[in-house]
Amino acid sequence: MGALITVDKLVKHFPVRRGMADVIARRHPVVHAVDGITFSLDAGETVGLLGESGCGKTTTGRLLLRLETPTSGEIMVGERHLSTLRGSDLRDFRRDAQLVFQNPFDALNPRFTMQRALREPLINAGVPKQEHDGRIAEVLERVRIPARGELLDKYPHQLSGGQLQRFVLARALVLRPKFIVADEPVSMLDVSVRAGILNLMREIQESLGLTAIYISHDLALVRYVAARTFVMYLATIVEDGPTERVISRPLHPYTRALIAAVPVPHVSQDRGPLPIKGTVPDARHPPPGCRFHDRCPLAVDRCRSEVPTLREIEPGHHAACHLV
Amino acid sequence: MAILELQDVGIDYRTEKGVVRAVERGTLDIPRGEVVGLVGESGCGKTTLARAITGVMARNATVSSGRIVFEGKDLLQSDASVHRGLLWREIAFVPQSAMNALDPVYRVSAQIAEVLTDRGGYRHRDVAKRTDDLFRMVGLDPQRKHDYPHQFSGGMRQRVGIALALALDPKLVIADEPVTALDVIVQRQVLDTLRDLQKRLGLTVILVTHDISVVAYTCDRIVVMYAGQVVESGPVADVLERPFHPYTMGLTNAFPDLARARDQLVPIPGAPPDLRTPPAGCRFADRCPFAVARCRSADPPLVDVAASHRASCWRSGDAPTLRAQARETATWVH
Repeated sequence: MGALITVDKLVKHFPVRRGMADVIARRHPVVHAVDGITFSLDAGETVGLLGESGCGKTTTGRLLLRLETPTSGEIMVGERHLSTLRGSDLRDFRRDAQLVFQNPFDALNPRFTMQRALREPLINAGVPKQEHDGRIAEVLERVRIPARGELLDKYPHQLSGGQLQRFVLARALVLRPKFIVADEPVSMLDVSVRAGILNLMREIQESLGLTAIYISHDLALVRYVAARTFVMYLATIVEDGPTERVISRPLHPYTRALIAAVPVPHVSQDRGPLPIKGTVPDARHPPPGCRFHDRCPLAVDRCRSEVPTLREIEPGHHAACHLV
Repeated sequence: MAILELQDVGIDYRTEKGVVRAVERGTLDIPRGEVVGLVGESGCGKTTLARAITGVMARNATVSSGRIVFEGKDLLQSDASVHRGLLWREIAFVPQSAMNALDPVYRVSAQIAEVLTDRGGYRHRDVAKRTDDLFRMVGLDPQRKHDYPHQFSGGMRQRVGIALALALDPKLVIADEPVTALDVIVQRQVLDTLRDLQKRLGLTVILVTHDISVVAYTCDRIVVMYAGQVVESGPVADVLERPFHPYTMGLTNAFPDLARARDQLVPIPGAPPDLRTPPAGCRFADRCPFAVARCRSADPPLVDVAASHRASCWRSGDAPTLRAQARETATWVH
């Protein structure tokens, strides 16, 4: 299968409020949320977008769903430019691409029963009314909610976090999308429930052949749902590879630090100091050269001046670092 | 010798729909100079129990039974002013979100000064030096002490919260989800600072969290709560490697582990019981694959199962077999 989504030098800058000094100097300061990222996704591929808060992972997800307009760069969906879709083409895209929200407690309308929450997208997409019950039954089976139970007549506040997240998932799937973006889909859930939702997402993804992007700050979770992982740092992709390779043989020094920092649920003796210094720089003024250089334990002069590009280091595994 | 002992603490919330017993068996010992992790899922009563130790609770909450003994003194029997007097000076609290705990309209320095002068009896001329020392201790630049809370990042704010808690040299620090909203790298840096301070100052720390990996990294001991009860407690390596309570077994198997090969995550089906109408027997029985008739009729007491390791399960004698079975997803689907 060919590439479903192709992203070319995608940039998104958000303007920030100008101070007097900016006005005088005629500066227009911006936050660099996404700074020239390029990648492509095959149909049926599952990708994890990994990074810390503010690295641009959520903005990337929103750009891919056309919930934000890029500052520059191009997103292609199949043969079409996403930014030029109009009318019925755009409506088709809106049906085919769905978002799974992070916080199930406020993703659903508190005044809608679950029944209504699932019917709403069908009505909006113009699915004939006689098909609604069938579609809802189908999707409930996918998320393992008994279709004949009382749950469908409940309101969000009457359900547990795990049940709600199943309904949020069901709502995203009811229009039979081809592509889903899930933004931290389990971060609000308790551990015992989280595992169930992750297993369910993987199962659904596999049986429907969905193309999916999982946005998360937690590699330990991404691992369960995404075959490939992009690591983002300050608006750029610094590493891209098969998830298990990224975990077992991280190439970029930032990825190595990230993996060293992930806490593990057993007592382990071999936890040395973190191979990273300081904090993430201000996204209004990203550092020149490699954006990671002032925190990198390995940085040399070249890293301070020359921007590293994403290079293939081993088959299918890329890193943007001069030193690997 | 434990610095703090809680025995069968029961805490009630008065609500419109009647009294809810949020904590039913709050039993734990906190040895002096150790870091103890209090873990459980949302609504299990861990924060309520931690708050009861400080004596600062929601208006509709009351400790209705049990004993809270701090350095040999039963805090529930003594006057409320005694308990209040301990706060900050002996027992300090790092709240869940330092952003909400810090007043947004006052400079951080003013908020630390208030604790130092009003609570600690510091003279005004000593305040600046103490504030600088506290900032340095938690790894913050003292030059930033006059900033407002919103000018700090999440990790820095959490450090301010720790500095504030340490202002009057307490013996016991209770930290409620101190790193929950932080990114992993920042989280690790804050935990390292906390651990380092604990060693240097000889603090006793209670770390309240839902995250067993934070406990594994930071704590000496672990106390597991479920549906208002302490169900297991002991040295952290023992409890995580050889759990005796099926809930603890489930929790460790449901938790992803980056350092080990990717196994299937094993979820625990179902949800905790409604505490307004708690079940008669073991509160975990409904979700437990190993439950027998006795579990549904009688609540198992918290008893010693190994050296300084306690659990409340009628089947703790079968724990080795149950542990192996608990690793299979099929065990939990019933």
